[in-house]
Amino acid sequence: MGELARSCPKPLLKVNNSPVILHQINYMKQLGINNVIVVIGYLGEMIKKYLGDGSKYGMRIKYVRQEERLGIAHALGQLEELIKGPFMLFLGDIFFLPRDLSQMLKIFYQKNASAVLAVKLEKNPQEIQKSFAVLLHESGRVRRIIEKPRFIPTERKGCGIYLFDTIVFDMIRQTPRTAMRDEYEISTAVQKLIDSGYPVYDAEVIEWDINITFPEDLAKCDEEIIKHVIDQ
Amino acid sequence: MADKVSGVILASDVDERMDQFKINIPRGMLEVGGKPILQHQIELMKGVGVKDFVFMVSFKKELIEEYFGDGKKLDVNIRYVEQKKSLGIAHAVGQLEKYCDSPFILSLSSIFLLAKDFRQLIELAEHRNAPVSLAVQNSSDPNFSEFHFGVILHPDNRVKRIAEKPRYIMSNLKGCGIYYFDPVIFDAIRRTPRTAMRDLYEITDSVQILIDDGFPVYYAEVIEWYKHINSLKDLEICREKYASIQ
Repeated sequence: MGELARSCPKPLLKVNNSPVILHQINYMKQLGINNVIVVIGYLGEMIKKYLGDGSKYGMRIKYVRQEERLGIAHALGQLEELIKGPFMLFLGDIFFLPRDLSQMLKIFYQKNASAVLAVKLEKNPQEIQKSFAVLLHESGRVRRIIEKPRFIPTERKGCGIYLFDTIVFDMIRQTPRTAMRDEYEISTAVQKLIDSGYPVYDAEVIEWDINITFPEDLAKCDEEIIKHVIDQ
Repeated sequence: MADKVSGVILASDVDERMDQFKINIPRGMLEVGGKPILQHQIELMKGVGVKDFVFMVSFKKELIEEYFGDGKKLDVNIRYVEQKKSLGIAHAVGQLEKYCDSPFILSLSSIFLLAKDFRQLIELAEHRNAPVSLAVQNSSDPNFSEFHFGVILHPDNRVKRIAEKPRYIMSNLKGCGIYYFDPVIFDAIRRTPRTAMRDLYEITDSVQILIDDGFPVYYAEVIEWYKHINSLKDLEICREKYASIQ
């Protein structure tokens, strides 16, 4: 991210004049969510200062400081005490345009799922390679997720947007660190859910998404918003 | 050949055994028969068509880089990547994903070996469409004491199980740490957990993940003799062995 990220944490970068994280909080609000926990690290005080306690958005926002960078599964594990029921997990550096996130909740409750993964149907394999592939059983359940796959047997791209039951914390307790990044990966925890027999489903709810990495990515986000609004 | 095979040599000497081995040059630069071990390995791989090499370096890397440069002297291409952490071979290889778009032979600069029909390591994998083949020595010596991993086979000669430093002899096949890998190994590395014995990411665990996923893995008996060099005595043994066959 270079100069851009040194002065401003990614979640505060603006898309359509509003920080990425505020877009995300608004999506959550539309789903009927009132309580949000923001895990902050580098430059996190700026996020805290910007969003405050959330009351100006009609939300309650709590902050947890991530002391060690050991991967998303580890970061999430630190929140167990604060989370008492199903919850959505968003990553603050991913900007996305949702189709209808409430589908995730619907699938979660109708199928009695332990996790629902937001996916986008993606024709370009290189895009899937940057994220993860989602493979399904004939039953429609998720059978396997493959992080940054080399061979891509599907068009289902996982987007880093999850709905979890609290059972995921039991999986996080069993999640090993893995070799590529020496981190505790959330994908390892999700695969543990699947392998332990918990029902995991996907939901095609993402219109467009991007992991913000380069300054020009922000312009792409603005463009997509305009397209999206016109399409509707 | 389906894809061009490249060579990856881990020459970083970052492991703790170096402390006991008080010489001040990387093991790959130790000379046997008047030339560095690394050069023996380059020549071995070059003999089976490998032109492009990636060296992972760290300890006294300037000695290696000065000697081999970009590889032109030996009519090969060498790129250097610095190893930043010492977390096991699976982790080290994982850091090379962006340099390895095609199959590669993995070797360690701490191994001195005498090979036979080394080409088989590649050909077996290619003919059988296998993502991995393991270079092994076939030895029935009950006192075989070299560092190795054990191999257990399916009836059809596919590898069923490999185990690092087995306590009991598993079979006559001794894996020495040289492999042929398709880049699919990186998908397995992403899922490889750190294990308790050495608190490291072991490449043998990555291979077992591929086997458990149903990929065919084969072995090739291409090693006549090998030694992991961990002391000056080991080096002497290698020099004697090499002299005896000249």
